[in-house]
Amino acid sequence: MNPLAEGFIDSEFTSLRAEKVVREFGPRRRRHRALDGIDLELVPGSSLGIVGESGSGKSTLSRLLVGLDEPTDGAVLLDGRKVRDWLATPASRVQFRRTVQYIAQDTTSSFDPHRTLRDSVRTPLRTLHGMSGSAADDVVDETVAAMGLDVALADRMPHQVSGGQRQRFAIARSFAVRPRVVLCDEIVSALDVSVQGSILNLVKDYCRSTSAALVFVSHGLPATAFVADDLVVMKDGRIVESGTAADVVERPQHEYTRSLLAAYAFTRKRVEPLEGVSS
Amino acid sequence: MTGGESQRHEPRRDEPLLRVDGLTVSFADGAVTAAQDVTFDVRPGERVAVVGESGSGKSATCTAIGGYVSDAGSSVTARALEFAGTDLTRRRTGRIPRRTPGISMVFQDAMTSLDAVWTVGAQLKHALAADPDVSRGQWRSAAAQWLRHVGLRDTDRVLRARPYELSGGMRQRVMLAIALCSRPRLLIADEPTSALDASLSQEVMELVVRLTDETGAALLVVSHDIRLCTEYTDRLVVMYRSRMVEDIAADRTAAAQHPYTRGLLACVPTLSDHSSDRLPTLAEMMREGEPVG
Repeated sequence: MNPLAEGFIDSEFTSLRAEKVVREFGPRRRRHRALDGIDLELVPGSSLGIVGESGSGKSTLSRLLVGLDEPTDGAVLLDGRKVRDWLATPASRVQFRRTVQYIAQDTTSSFDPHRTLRDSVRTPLRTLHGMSGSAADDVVDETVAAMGLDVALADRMPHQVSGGQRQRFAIARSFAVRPRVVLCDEIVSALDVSVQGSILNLVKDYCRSTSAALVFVSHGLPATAFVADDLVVMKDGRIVESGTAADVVERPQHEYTRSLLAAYAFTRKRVEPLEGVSS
Repeated sequence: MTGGESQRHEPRRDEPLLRVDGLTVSFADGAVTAAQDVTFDVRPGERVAVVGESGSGKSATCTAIGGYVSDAGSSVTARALEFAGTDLTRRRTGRIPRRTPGISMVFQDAMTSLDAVWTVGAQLKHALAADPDVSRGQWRSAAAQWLRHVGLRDTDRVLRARPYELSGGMRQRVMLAIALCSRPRLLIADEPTSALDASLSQEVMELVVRLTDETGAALLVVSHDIRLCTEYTDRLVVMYRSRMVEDIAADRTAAAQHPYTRGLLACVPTLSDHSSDRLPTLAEMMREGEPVG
């Protein structure tokens, strides 16, 4: 049992929906349509992977889903209520942030360089759950330990830990809040392949054991197919293919999906550890 | 090939182009040893990858070979460090890194390794000055030819552009043009593709391999992506905690002996993982393969 599955999950959540979402950028004469009519729905326990090349609109979509940006047309709805309405008053904003958490790619810029990691992980517990300092500290310790990190590292500054450790702290900061929807935007893209596996395992475990909904945005198809049950493939702001991970990976329908898959057509045999090897 | 092949690129495959024997790189007056006792050869035209996690010493090894380790308190020692018969340990060192003729280097982040205030044309012109076959009046056509060679179309615009006006993939191609236009015999590429997405990183890797093949240059590529290297290079030098643990032919990685090499290979997510519950992690692989030297 994941220790994070217990505790203070109090926020209700039935669905997060994007309805005919359009997002345009630039001046009127040279409008660029980054998203062109996106429809998708997330329910508790579902996990959705969004893949596509850079420029396909996947990051724009993820920013809209967590309320960091607003659609030009269409709507993003949490439990049937528009995200912009959730964010309109302080009380409902707290409720929204408690439910939906976002983990960014760049951990260097997502932590305050002047505060310890513990301080950064503790802040959302105090602001979103109104916890006292010592209660929040207990949750921080427990969450940080569940990430496979040494609790003593929490008292360091962000630049004093490695990139992989910092990403685990970023995940800890989100998971400590016990969100019902977790949105991961390219969280392993900047990390060594050697640490990617353990981070992907953590995310998958949390969402399984708490039946939180997951949106996993990445240009790495194998990692996304591992974490998510369903995949959508984006190109030029549109969804060109969607289905279960198995269907998309094994029976791709769209030409673009096939070309994405071709980039991973490495033939590699599973390498098992040798027994009793000494150097 | 731009400007035609010249004789000096003719590989003699019998003797090493680069000989590294017992290379040790340390920083902060010896407090940090980034690479210790690293030994390998690179033959003319050969493609060798140095792989390992961050902190394994792979970048330190290659920047030392390229002559870019010059911070105060740093030291580079070796029993032998020779490039085409020249002893690199005797290279004059100072605060300013000194480039060895015949060795070019490309870095991971093209944005910071290109000069932000100069146009691409001006930077290429500077690099082309090292090529005796290109006269001063011809640099523009030679530069445009190099840009076409690395797969850039709109050469007039690119020559006039500053780095921030180009996309990440375009910048990486410009870097390659600058590195290769001085006709090196060895190209060192430090994580050339890790800032790019999967299909683009394959494209750039293929370009690097094609260009080095055409110019006869040997390639020393640094990467954490062992799978990509297995696909594109002849040999892998695996580094772990500042030491070299394995030197293995790329087509024989299935027979890798060291648990770390096997772990690196196993922990890369593959498409077939969509049906599995857990990914193997390097730490687990290492525990199972203990003891580790």
